[in-house]
Amino acid sequence: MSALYLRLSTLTGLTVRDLLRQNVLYLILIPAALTLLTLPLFTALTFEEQIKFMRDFCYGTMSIFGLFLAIIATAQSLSNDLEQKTIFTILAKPLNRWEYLVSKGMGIGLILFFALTILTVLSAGLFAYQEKSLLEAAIGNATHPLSSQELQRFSDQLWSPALLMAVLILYLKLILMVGFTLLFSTVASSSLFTIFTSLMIYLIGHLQSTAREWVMGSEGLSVGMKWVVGLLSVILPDMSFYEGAERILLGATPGLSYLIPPLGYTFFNLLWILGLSTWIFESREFR
Amino acid sequence: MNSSLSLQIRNVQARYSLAWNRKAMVALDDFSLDLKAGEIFALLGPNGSGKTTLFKLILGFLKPKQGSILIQGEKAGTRKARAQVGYLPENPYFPKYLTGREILETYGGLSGLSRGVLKDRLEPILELTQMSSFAEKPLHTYSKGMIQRVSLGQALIHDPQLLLFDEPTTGLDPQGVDLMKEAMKKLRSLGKTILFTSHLLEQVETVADRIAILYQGKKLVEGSMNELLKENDAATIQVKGLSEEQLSGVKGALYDFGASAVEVTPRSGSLENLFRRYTK
Repeated sequence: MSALYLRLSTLTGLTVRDLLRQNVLYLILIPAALTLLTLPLFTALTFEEQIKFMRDFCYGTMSIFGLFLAIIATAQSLSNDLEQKTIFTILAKPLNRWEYLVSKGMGIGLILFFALTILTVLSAGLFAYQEKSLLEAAIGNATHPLSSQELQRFSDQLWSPALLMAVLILYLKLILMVGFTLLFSTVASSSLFTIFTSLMIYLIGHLQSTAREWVMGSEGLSVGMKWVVGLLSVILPDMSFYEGAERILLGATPGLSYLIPPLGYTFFNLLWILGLSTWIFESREFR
Repeated sequence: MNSSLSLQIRNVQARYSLAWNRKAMVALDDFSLDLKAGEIFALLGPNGSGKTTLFKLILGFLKPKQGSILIQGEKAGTRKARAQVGYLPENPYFPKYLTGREILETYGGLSGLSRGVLKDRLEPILELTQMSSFAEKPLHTYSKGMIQRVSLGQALIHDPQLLLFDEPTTGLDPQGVDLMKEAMKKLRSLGKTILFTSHLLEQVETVADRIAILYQGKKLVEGSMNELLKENDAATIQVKGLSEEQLSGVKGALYDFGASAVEVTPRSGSLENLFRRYTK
């Protein structure tokens, strides 16, 4: 095994172990699980609405709590090393600073994978429970009995493997946010600043494509201004690349074309984010 | 670069810029130092004199505003240079849930050591630091002295040539101090170079080959213990075979009194007095 692999895997492992022992993971994962467990309480919906609601509710819960986990865990990981001064013993070793950043990112990426897996399994359990309840209610409904084809269609919608692709796209989106949060951590002196800035960037990312289209389409704007907007749109995240997940939730049948754009976009952004973070982190002094 | 030098520092200056455009504070000014393999060098100075700043410059945590630092010929701050440096911080912090052995393995991994190399390195380090009896226990059960031994172990795990010990004996009990001093002497015998800081002057006196005193970022004095502690205007006269009465008039003509042996050697003061004289 190469020395580089050993250094990366050791620090990634240490990051994972640190996060598993910190309250932040459980403070986010437990409320997320509790939120999912409220799903059976929403019953005043039609059978079809109920299935759509279940998919949206579980994906939304994963999306919101996953975002909090990605941003807070990343912001705290670096600031904890600075506050506890472990960074001095870690960076005193023959370890490149980019290796430190990559290992932190990979460790948080593994934790996110772990968290999303747990929430996906929990969602599947809830789907099974709800499906059983709904079917029992539908069979007992004498006024609007469901045909076997309808039952099969609903079951297919609920257990569509495409939903896993939606979760995968969500994971890529969260990994992008880990990258941005790491970037802000390299300049910030407080984790609060990093968390706030990252949340702002996330919001901007969701508004970006609409705002860009509006600005580029407006006739009163100078060419120079359009160039500035164009440049900003490259630097700021564009979350429309991850809209495939929402389309899957709406019932679209996904192909590779749903996965390749978010995969490529995440990879491209992580590359420049890592380059810029390393440049900043290399020049940062630790007093 | 002289190839026999473990550390070569030339005219280094470090400054801390202050907020609101106030004048930058000079933490270390025109500092030079050469350390050879197999010597123990002590940096003395009051708090804020620039000792820890120097360590951070050597490790690349700070960048000098001028001057150069070479470690075994490599520019300070580079990965190759850090491969030659072991650092024991003043207040080490390690994850409390890990055992002493796991800490050493983790820091070995961070140095890029394979399991095979680590296995060979661990036992001699556990022996030198006398950690074997508690290496399998988690850190939250450790005393300050035990944590300091783990910290010493992690500093040595990648077999560096230059060792930086920041206040290595502060807060330790006498047994802990003795262990640290013995470890330093053993490491010197293995050809390692040790640069350390301390406020405990008596302990410095017993292990250091050379010292320097820093004050407000400037090096006031540097030299070997023997040179610096020699007082030229005073001498100790040791006589043998004289009674208490005869000793009273011995200064003028010792041999006239019939002494069988007279030995005159330069008198040494204490390191503490030297330190106080320069930093008062």
